[in-house]
Amino acid sequence: MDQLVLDLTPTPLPGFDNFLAKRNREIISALTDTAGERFIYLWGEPGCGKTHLLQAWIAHAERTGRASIYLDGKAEHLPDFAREASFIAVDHVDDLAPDDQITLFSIYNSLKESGEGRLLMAGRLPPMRLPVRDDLRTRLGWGLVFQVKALSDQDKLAALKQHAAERQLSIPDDVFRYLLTHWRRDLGSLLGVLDTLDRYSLALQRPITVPLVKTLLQTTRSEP
Amino acid sequence: MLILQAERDALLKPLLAVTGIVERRHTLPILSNVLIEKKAGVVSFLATDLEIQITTASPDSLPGEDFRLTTSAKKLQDILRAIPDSTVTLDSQDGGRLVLKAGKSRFNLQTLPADDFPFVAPNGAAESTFSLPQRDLKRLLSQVQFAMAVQDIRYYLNGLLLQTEGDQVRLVSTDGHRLAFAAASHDGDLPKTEVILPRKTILELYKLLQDSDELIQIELLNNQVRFSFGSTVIISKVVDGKFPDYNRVIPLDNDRLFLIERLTFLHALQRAAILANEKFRGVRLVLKNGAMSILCTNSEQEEAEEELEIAYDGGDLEIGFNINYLLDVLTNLPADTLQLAFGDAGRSALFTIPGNSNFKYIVMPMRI
Repeated sequence: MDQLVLDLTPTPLPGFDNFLAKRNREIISALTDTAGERFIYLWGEPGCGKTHLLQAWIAHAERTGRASIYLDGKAEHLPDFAREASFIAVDHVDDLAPDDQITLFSIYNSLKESGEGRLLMAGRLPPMRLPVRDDLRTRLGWGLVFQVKALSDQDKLAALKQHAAERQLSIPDDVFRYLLTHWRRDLGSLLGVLDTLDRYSLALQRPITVPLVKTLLQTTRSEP
Repeated sequence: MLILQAERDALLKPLLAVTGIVERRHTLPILSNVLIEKKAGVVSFLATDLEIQITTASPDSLPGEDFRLTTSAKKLQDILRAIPDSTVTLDSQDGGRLVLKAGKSRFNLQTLPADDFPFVAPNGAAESTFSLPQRDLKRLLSQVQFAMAVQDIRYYLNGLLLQTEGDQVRLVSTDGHRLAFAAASHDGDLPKTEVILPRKTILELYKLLQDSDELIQIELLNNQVRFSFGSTVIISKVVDGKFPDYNRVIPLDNDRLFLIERLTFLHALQRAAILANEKFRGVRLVLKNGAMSILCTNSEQEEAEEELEIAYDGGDLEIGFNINYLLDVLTNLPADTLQLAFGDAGRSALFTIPGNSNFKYIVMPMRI
């Protein structure tokens, strides 16, 4: 029988302050510049933090009272009403279905014509190599384009420590190093496994140690 | 030189009040000592582990000169306990020895200089001060202290949240599996403040509080809290951390409700618990309209089953719990009747006292 645990700590919203890679600072200043470019495209390898940036940008827009919407090209069809929002984030552009590419192209054009609103897009590849319609591909390259640089192990270690500190967890350093070498390399998965560890250790009322991590990884490795 | 002559109990009682916090092993040897100080006829005892400091005075004024010394708290306590109730004398001798005599017994003890004793100094002026009868605080503590975590890596769980706001004093504790909330009204307008009191402080305080109308004064200092009651003063550090927002875990839409007699439920659980699994402590509650069954099985496939008639018509539900979490609340709840509110087998259950919003207990189920 497994003890279930109380949901004591809310998951913090992605924010620019917990996206800590210093090398990507110019992206954050471009995203938060109110007078800056309205069309921005981010690209980089999976797990480098694109989704986090998109969601942080949306949270930032909501805090400033803008109608905003986050769309995941991999998981859903782009709804036509999205163009009503003034801050639109489109994730996983390289996975857009042909119909959705048309929708995005039309959203782009209506924003361009209206002279208002902002569009932030992200994908794995630079615009010129994206497997999308020619007209969309050229539009993506017209705005600002940034490569999101992958986090170094040092960055990931710092991110894990910060994540643990936000949850007021005291975890020995060897646990973080173990996770970096034995778990998936992208930060999202690493932070996710830390949350799982948090609940697991709370349910068992045991400290988070390397042996506990090993037990957890053995039981979850079979699941994706 | 004779420095003190007193009845055994005049020394043993205040000594016992402070020695509970003395750690057996400490890197600083003087911390296993108790500081005994006599000033203007009053003998006071003080012990600390650097996190908590307790001082208390003997009730009667005693003749003789002023003095200060420190000696092993544990040994002094064991000696005073072992000797018959009679007059005890303390002699201070050259070379820092202390001689304790009672009847035909004689003990020669080591001392350490009182000037080397590390005090916990109060940190600034009180940010908030309030008093309530010792009995009330003791009752509140008894309703929540059992849900504190033990040595959790989340330091904020190893303690108890003390919150004041307006005319309310609230105590909350949780170990992540269950959460206990108790509140009391207080006449006066208290500022909105909160601190987390360490587990050790709470257990010690609970032990020392009397079941009386005498007041205890509580002062929230900078990163410290001070409790003053009778001749006892406790200064404790507070736990550094943010206590979770307990309101977000109180279930509001649990609609399978019924009332139950506390003792009936408690006794049925106590019987069933005899055959509960020793490691997992699981109990299954099976609700049907009009009845609740309580089922325990252990690793040897032994089974206990209890059935209680209840006024319930919320439909079938089977839900598992750690039986200790149910026994804890039923043992400590100050009411004859309580209300149970369930959602489904994966969601928390809420225990309340009908017509009383000052107590809440939320417990998460076990997956059966």
